[in-house]
Amino acid sequence: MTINDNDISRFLAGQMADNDPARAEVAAFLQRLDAVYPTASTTAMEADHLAAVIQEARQVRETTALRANTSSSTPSKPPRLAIAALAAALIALTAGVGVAAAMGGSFTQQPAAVELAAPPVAELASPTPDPSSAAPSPTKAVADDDQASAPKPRVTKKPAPKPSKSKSSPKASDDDDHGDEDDHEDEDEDEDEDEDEDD
Amino acid sequence: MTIGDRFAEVLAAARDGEDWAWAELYRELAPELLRFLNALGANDAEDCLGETFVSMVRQLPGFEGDEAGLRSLAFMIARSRLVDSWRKAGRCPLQTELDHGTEPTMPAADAAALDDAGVSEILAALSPDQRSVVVLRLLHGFSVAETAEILDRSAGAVKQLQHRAVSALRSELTESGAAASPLTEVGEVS
Repeated sequence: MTINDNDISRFLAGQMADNDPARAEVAAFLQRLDAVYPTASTTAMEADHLAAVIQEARQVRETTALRANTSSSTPSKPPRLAIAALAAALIALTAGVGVAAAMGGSFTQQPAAVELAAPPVAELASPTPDPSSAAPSPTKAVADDDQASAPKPRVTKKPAPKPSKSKSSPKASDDDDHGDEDDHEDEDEDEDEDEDEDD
Repeated sequence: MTIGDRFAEVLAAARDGEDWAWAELYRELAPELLRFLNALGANDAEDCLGETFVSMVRQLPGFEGDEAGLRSLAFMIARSRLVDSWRKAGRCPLQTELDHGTEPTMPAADAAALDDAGVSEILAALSPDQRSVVVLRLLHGFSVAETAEILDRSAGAVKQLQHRAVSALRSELTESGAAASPLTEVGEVS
């Protein structure tokens, strides 16, 4: 005998099974269960339980009211938050300026270096009379950076004429690329001089 | 008996902590809950019932639903309180192994008491979850979905539990000689 879902639903719904004795056994037991556990009376314990429930309800009500008062008396939270955010932003800004200053003001000197890279070769080659230029000048630093970071083939060693000079327009003299070419020309000239001295 | 159309009013008053509302909810739900706790084999069903209502007071502010939903919530809390009481007592719920080899030798005057004890004993042979499913569905008329919500299980799990429960009951009734007397009595009644 097998008991399928329909039988179980019928058993649990309190319906008696058909003539199958095994099903009737289970159905009768479940029917009997309803009589063994009747609905109990709670009048004897009602007073005690209700007293505890009402006391708990009052505590919950007081707690809820207290929370409501607390939440209503704290409208200053958003301004506090805004002030804290503003203070944090100011601190971050101050720290950023401090870090920039500690790094030697590279942010302000970088554009000046770019501007200085443009002047003619003769001006760059001449030593600066300023005695305070013991430290490497930004121009030199930029030139060194160009040498190090640009592994370009030394096309200037070729005997062919340099088309950049003939093609360059007066407007293009401020161009960085053109300035780099000038730098390479300077380097080549310096190297040639060094080779001559070695010879 | 149900609260019916006045449920929203009673619920709102109970949330406000009105005594009359809680008295009405108690009289509506407490008898069923006590029956449930007794059927699940609670040691101290009355204490569990009181704790159930105190927990309901705490959970009622967050409750949203109708009367059937509140009834399910009450049964869910009652079962949780019962499981907590079992844990505190350091033992599992009453689950017995029936001794099928002994013959009942009770006098005829105690036949009714034997029948009740026999039914309880066979029911106690089920696992706690199987027993909960049988009691909730049979005694309290909860649907599979409602039973699943109360037991915090899926509907499929509840169906599986009830199938195993009925199979276990059939097995116990077949093997146990004590099954004869309740069936005879039910047959006489019906």
